[in-house]
Amino acid sequence: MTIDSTRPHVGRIYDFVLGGHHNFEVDRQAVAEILKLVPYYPELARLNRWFLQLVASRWSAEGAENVLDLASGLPTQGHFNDYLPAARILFCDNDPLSVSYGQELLQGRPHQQYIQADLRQPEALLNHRA
Amino acid sequence: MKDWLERIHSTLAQHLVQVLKVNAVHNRSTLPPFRFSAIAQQFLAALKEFAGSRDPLAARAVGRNLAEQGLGLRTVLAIGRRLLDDALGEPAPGAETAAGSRDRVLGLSDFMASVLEGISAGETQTITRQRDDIQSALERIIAEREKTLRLMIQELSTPIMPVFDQILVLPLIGEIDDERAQRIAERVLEEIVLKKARVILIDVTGIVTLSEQAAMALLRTANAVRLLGARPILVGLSPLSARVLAQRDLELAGLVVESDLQHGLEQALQLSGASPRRPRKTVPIGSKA
Repeated sequence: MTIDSTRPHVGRIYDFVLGGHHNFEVDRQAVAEILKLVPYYPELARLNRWFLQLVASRWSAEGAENVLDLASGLPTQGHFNDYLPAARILFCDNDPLSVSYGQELLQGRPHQQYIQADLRQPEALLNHRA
Repeated sequence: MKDWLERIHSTLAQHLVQVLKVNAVHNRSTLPPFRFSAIAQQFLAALKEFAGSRDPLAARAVGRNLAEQGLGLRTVLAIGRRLLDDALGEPAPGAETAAGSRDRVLGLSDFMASVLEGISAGETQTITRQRDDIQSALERIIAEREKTLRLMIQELSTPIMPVFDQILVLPLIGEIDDERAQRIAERVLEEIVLKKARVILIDVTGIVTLSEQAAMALLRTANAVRLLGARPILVGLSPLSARVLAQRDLELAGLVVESDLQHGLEQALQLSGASPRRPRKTVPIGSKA
């Protein structure tokens, strides 16, 4: 997958509809177009993220220690790392920008890692230990 | 103001939660609905504190904190409106004077002004930080990609060497991805035509483990070599690479495989019908041969 900041990117688009700023003008313009077709997209995205947060907060209360998150996107806007700071979490995505930013964000947390992996080739993912 | 807050605290808390629910989508997603009650309590506690201290800096700090939690400007404006409505709509108890009622409204207004300043400052800081973060992540990826490409180009510069008439050697080292495999194939075919080669030795001694992807690419290249009327010989296969080929049951029909370059060269000489030339006689510069 190539890295192109001149074209909209789904991870950054999702960040924007969640209220984040980890995105570029081209992503915000794409969101404007999407909203013409799906005006309730931000509500759906938020509901999805809030569900993740609810689950994470319950896992936190129950002492869950290992989390495998597939197709993580940008680990921002209240992701697992915010709600489960002590858990071992393996984030993954096939997008290098999401992976790079995720790795930067998780620096200093050796028990939480972000790797580039594609579910269509699960060996790399399954062989990795967070 | 403090008395008023204590008197109708639970009502105000309910109202704030209601406002938060209605405006949920105007907050960042970092503020989920199951935290609305806690946010309402935090807001009212800060207001109560302000009623005693009238400290705008403390209220501003609360605003920044709420912004960090994801509370949006629009939601805070709606909260302010709701609180003002409650303050104005509350029937004055017998003991409360007009001045007391005025103080309640003005205090609330001052508090909201400071909170909004804090929210605004917090929002600005968040926007700047997040945009800087994503930009630096992008720059780092580009730098890494350039570094990888430079290394790959260096590897690609490995020459295809003519070792005898009509015999070429292609030594390979490092990773072979799709892009590199494509370039190798192109160069091999060009050189075969250019040098009129009959045999090419593909030396993979420098590749510890030949990936399935790379093996497939080399086999495709070998097939293309045959289509040009030349013979490919694979040499220097490591045990790990051999296992990859065997495990994947890759089709090796028609491809000559030799253990190392020396044996490969002997085989190439037989196939091409060439014989090693004797080393040229060295002639000192300036002398007449």
